[in-house]
Amino acid sequence: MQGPSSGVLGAAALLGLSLVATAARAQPSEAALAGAGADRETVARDREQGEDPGFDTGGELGYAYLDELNYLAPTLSADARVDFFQGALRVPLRLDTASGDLRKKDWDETSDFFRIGQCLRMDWSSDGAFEREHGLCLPWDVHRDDYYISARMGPVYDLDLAHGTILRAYSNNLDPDHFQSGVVANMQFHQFVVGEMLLDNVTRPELIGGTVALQPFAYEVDETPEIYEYRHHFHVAATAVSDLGAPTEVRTAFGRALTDDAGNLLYRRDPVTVVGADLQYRFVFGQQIELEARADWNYITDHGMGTHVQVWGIYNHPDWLYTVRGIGEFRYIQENYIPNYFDSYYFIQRQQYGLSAGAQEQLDAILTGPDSTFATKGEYLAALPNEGWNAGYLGGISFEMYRGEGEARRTALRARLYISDVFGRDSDGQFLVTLELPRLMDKIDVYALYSRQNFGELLDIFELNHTLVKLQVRWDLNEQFYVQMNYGRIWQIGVDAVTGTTDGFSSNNEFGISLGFAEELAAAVAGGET
Amino acid sequence: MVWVLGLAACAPTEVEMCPAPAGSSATCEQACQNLFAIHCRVGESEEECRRLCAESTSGLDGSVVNAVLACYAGASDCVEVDGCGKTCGPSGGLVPFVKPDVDAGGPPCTDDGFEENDDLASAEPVGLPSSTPATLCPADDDHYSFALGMGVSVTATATFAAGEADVQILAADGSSLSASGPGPSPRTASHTALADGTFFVRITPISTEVGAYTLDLRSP
Repeated sequence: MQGPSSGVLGAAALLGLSLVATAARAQPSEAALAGAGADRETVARDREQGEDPGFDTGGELGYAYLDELNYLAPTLSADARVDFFQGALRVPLRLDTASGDLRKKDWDETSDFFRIGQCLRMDWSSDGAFEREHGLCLPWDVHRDDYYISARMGPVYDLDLAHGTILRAYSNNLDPDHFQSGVVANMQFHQFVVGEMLLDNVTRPELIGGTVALQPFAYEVDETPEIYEYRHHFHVAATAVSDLGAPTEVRTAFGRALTDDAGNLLYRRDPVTVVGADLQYRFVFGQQIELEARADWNYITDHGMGTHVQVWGIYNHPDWLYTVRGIGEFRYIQENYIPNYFDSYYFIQRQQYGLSAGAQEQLDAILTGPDSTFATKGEYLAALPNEGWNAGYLGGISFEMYRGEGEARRTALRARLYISDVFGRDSDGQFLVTLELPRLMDKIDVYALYSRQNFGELLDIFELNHTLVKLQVRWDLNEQFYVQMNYGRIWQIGVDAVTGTTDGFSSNNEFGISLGFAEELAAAVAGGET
Repeated sequence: MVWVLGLAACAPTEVEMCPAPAGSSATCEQACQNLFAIHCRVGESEEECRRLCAESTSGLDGSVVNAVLACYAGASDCVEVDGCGKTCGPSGGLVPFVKPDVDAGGPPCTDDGFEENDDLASAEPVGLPSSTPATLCPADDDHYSFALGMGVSVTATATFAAGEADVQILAADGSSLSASGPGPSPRTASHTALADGTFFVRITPISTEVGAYTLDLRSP
């Protein structure tokens, strides 16, 4: 196929390999809004019947900044599509501008070589439509009556499971020195059963999780569709997430932290598992107003439990110009329970909990011993008292604007903001805000995330040290050329200048900008449009 | 000023729980060589490891040092390494390794006028030959730069009254060309240049009480 936008799509597939959540998502149809299972607002995207196999290739040349060094950043890219398989491949290189040397930390571990497979995916859908991979590795958004199975391998960003009360905004790549390729899979059987599964690292799996949601009345078994329409708004789900290799204590020699040859800290490990069950019911008042009630119960095995009761209010503009969703959550938790234990910082905090001053204060309050620098989240969890219950809250809002009409309606802007805290527990605040501008003027994709954990005072939210920030922009100059830019406020393990030993994770900046080119090399007719 | 990792209320030293054979001993060099061979790194190089070893075991009971170094030298994986420090200490507890606490004060140290010569970029230029009196404060490396012609040899010697230090000759990219190894005064490192260039001497305090020292650069 060589349609009018294929060049752009190919370029998108190539460039967007590192972009996340910048899909040109469509506006939700009424059917899609009835999505069950994951908390994702399901929307339809560009899809085609009988997509042709194809192969695009290209490259990028850019500048990168990391470790306070400047790098030349060439990238070879390719995108392949064959039936239900799609692969977005890239070979990203960073060459020190001073020495010309390849950055060794990018390629010194087995898992680093999975950078090449930025998104390898297989999708089966009962409606036969085919959605091109834009390098985003997101699931297709399918009608609730369809059957759909998807498995995608690549870096995992900003992932929620179920209602997010166990795993929220999880990412498995927050340290640019240690790449991980994970797997996320989705399944939907007529929305009677909806599920999602996560694996954090294909080379050394440690964190694994899944959720299964049932809509027991979703199956139309009689001739009472009007009753069905109301009954199907009820769902029940079960979720389990386990970090099988959760670090408990850093291994040492001479009283200093040990690392392997690639600089990974070495730990003693013990699994941490969180299981949960939740109920959800949506009340629909005409086309504009919806109200949703959710109740989650979670248990960190061998530790504490917590309950989360959420009320969602949803307003849809009569002409589908925008949708506003507001959430209020009341949580009642045991002292040795941590809400959304697998959060946006988890990839780092499982190894070193005391990143921010707030987290360090928490550690100092409950841990004994002279050195809490390398105290892990598991160690912190184990040290929490089991004496009583705390109340807490979560408030949030999401806003979505649309452009176009009817089947051509697409999301023009999506933003969400959450803030939460637990009363009686110092420095336990969590803040998350994301913004997506997909296909702005049909040329520009923007994705931004700002997440701050363990803050005490509200103003601490704006402290950049040990805050997770991601900003990614792609701009299609024409059908072949594009510019992409990314900035990350991430973490790297530092080395003490005096002792040469690791002194823990520090908050650092990563920046890159590049000019890319992509061209479709081969396309075979596969029974669809040409 | 130092603080100690471990349990303050430990009973008298008991090392029989150590996985190393009774009565065995090893040097810091042997211990670090094995740690790096089995991919359990402490420090970025064996040399740094040796310095840490000397620093952290300074002042420990001899039987504890012997047992723990033998354990490190004989360990076959990182689990064993971690166990060495846990089982060779008092009452089978943590080995009370010594670790300088640079943030907690320590003995007063009035640094010299060459500061901040803490890295290669801020190294103090010196001549060849030269004799430079200076002061070495805890956890604060001193750096000096000098020019050397191809085939010319240089010997750097640091002399000081107390404590232990390490002297290294470094290339322009920071790689170590020669090192004295940690120890008491005097510490000497030598190197013959293979090409014209700028070279560096780094003096690293191993213990906190070095203080005043003299760096002599000589060419035969």
